[in-house]
Amino acid sequence: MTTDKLEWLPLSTPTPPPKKQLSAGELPCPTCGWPIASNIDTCPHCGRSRDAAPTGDILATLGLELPPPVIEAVTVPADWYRPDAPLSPPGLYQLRLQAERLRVTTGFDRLICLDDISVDHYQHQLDAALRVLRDMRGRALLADEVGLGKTIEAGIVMKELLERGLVNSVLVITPASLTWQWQEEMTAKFHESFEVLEDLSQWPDAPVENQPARYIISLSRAKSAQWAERLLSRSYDLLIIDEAHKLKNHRTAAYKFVNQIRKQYVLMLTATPVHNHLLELYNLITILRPGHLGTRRAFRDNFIKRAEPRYTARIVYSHTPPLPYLRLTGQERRDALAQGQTDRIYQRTTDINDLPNLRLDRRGRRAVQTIESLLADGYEVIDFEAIRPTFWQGYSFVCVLNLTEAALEARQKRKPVTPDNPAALRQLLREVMVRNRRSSVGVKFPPRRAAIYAFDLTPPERQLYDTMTIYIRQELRQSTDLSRGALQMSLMSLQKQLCSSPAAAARSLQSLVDRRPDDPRLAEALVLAWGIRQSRKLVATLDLLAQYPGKFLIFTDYLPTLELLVKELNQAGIETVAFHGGLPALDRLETVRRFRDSARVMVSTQSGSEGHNLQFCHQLINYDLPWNPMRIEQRVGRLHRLGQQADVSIFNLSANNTIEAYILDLLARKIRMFELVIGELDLILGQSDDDRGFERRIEAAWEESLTEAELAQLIAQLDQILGQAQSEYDTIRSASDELSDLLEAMDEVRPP
Amino acid sequence: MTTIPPSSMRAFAEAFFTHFGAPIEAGPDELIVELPDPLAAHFGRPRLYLVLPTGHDKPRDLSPHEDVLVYGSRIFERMLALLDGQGELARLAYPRQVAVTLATELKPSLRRPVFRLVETAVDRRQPWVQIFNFRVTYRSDEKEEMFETIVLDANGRPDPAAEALIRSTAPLADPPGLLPDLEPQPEQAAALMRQRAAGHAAELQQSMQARLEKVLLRLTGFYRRLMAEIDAGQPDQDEQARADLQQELDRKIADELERHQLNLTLTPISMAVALLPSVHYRLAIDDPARPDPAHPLTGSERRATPYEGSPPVVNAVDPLSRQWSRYRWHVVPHDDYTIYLGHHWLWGTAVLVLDYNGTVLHRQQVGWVGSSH
Repeated sequence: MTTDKLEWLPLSTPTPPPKKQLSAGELPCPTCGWPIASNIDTCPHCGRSRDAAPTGDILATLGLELPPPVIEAVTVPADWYRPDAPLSPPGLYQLRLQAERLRVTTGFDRLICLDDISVDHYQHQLDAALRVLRDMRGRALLADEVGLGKTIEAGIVMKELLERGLVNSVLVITPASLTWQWQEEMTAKFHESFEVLEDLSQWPDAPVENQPARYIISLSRAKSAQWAERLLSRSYDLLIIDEAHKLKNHRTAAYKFVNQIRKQYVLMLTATPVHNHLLELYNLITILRPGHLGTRRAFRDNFIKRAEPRYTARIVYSHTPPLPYLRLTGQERRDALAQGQTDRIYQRTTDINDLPNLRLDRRGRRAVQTIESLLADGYEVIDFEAIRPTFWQGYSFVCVLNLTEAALEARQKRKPVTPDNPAALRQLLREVMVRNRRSSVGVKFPPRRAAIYAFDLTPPERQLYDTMTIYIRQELRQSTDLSRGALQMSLMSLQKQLCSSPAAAARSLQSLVDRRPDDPRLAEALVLAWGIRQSRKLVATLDLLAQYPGKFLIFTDYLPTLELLVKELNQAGIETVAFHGGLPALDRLETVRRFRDSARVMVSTQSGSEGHNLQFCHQLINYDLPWNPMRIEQRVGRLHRLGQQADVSIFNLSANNTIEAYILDLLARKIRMFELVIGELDLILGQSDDDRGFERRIEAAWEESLTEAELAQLIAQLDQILGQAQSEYDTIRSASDELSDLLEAMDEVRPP
Repeated sequence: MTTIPPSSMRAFAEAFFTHFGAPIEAGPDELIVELPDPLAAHFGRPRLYLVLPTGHDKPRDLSPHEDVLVYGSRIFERMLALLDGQGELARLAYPRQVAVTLATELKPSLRRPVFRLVETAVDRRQPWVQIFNFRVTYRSDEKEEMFETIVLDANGRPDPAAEALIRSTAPLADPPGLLPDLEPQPEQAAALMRQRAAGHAAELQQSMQARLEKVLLRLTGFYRRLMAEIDAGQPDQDEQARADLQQELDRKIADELERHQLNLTLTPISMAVALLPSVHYRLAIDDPARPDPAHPLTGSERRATPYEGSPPVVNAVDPLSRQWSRYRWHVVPHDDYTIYLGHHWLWGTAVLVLDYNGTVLHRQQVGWVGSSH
């Protein structure tokens, strides 16, 4: 009885919301640009009269002068002309003059870098880059919707500034998961070599202020004391912050660190500048242009609708039951502390500014976010106490605030981005923020559909998989801490190869047998792997190739699998080429050319395919599944990208009752990753990120479970976390859509 | 004698490849260039398909073998690289320049046949000049570059008239082999260039100052309000918080001042000594009511003949949108130029002086309903 099943995943199509109309905009202050209501004569921001033209007295008031121009010494050679010197013919002299006249740069009237980058750029990206350079003077929040190429826009701005000699040092701050991706993109697309900072020894002993620099560093590393001290010791011509929404909270160490960096040009990239509250946007823009949106209080007064003002009830945030200590009244707690009854308290603070310094788990951090947004709503702290109990209770977190339940209820009903004075806010945002929507720039991704091809392994494959899975789990449990690191890596790798192909597993087993020749279980498994003549996945692949005409790109992570596939498919009469990172550059080009011109299938490892145009193909098979979903997204992104004309089909091979099947189920059904636009997956996973990526969570679940039932239980927990992350992302997306509406909405015409 | 065409990307590309001996096949928006060996090695291929954007259409899709030739494009950069270090020193000769001024106040009532054209005063010069070319880069929070030419006369004095002539004319491709008797003075040119650049820098600083003031107003307004909002009820802490904010403000102001510092770089590009022969004519038109003035050199008188000539071969319409053909013309040919005296019953009198290339050396119109010069 066959168990094969090809199931197409359902797709949902969201309907775009209707456009809104905003009330009339305020007139900007002629001096500082702050919007002033028509019935007010004096700007509440800079204090100048509405009718006053900008004057030059601010410099004098501050006792400053515009620094005089610095003229570099002219180095005219004294012997520039000698009667006996060799002369150029007039034609050549004149040609040089023509060239020199054509090469002069006159402001940001055009982009000069486009021929020096290897990017399929789009008009909205060029427009954004020019707007940033010309109108925003290189300080901008690039907030395009996901998938429209914010990195490309930032790269173009960077390259343009570099080519014009305006920038010499660049610091890129990204989430830890993206540092290497940034490095690769900067190299492949913009031909700029960046150094990923990971070790303190990489930092020069005595960095010179104006020394050229191209650094990429993760935000978590950069804000650490040792790195922060070094990074802040110099200024940067250009600072790029990817996933800038991580700085939405101005009380965090990350925010404070970034705010201290001395920079000339700043680009902040995020598709979701508002998650829960408009003040998050305020925080981002205040890094870019301090004072552009006024002080926090002024911003709240001008743009944020107030919630109910008073509060009396006490709210406790915790995922563990409140400790007896917290059931005490304020005075009782003070007495208890005075009597030294603090043995169960590990960290305690009554200063709300210390919140970011508590070491918290995910729920604790979420609680802090909630508190932040309550504060942002205008609530004031009258009784605050945060406690982290002793270690044995884990990283729980308890906080007491006083609020009314009615106020909370009102807050929950309110949408995060609905400002007062929307037209005025829009006017201010447009000066610092670029936000393109897919619908407004006319960029359409081709439709894509995904299917899971599920099947049972053959008995020998099943035997190999089950035997080795038990073996690997046992070995990991028995390993000592000292040997664990390397062993864990190779055993985990073996587990992944078991899912890829017997050939891949055999190669890994061989290496283990070489290291442990006395282990009979390994030798038996190796013999078993060698003996498997036909992989079930290969049969499924041939089936797909027979069912669906046209070219196929097949991804595998392992060279033995790649070699096996190429051999078997060619033997089956299907012209197949192999592409992997070990190929020299010219061979890669030739392979892609062959795939385009004649071969039906290209089997590729992930490395190296970036930068090659593969859009002539629109069918992809995930032969094996990377446990890191971002890598799956990168694979899909090779075909499903701007410029692809045909509908893209993604086939995922899934052997029943293997770890791959669990992962695929989680990704395809829970967060519906194959429906997401490129970039969205990272945002969703970012919501659930607690310093361990999805891949590490899967590895941990797999490692910690002794049986399949235990694994299923742990995966179910992960499923819950992802569900929560998905739900949070939906809220964020809704907030971002509101922000887009705000920026796109038409002003009502103000009556004269 | 041939002259070198003016600057434009297409003209430059054609001049460039012609100079280096590469045959060009030109299309409306493209150039196909067969590259000889040394050039083929430099560009990395034997043939270039260059696409020149026309500016008014959407850029066309390029096939893989085509290259767009625009400012900043890779091909343009390769062309510049080939020219680097070349054409830095030359001896030039410009075609003779003719300049004409009208010494008489023109009246609209100048009517047939009562005017007389008086022989001109002549000023013939044949000077050597020194030409210095610089690239000036103005860099602050943005970058602007200018190409500047300084012309000094043989004595090292600035020569604005020669500079204007050189700007409007290309040198001869094959100059006579004369050697100048002058010692070029690059230091003087550099000093003059510095002075001129400082003048432009002052203009740039004015606009920069307005920008800086706006930034400073934003920053100071912001920080002052922040300081005013501090009220934790603990004076010492409040004072400290204000001091911290003031310190932060001072740092940001210092950063902004640095950001708005204008840096100028003067880069010498090339120099030449040039023969710049020129002739200056002064014309006078006499009123017959007064005694006929004699020719200043020959003493002879010249009486104009009545209007009977053809209209000048220039644009059919004058700057006042009047058709030249509706004037009646009196034509006076000369060695270096031709004078056209025109008359219309309503539009009045027009004087046009054209050289033999059709260049207008002088144009003046005085009428009952409008004048132009």
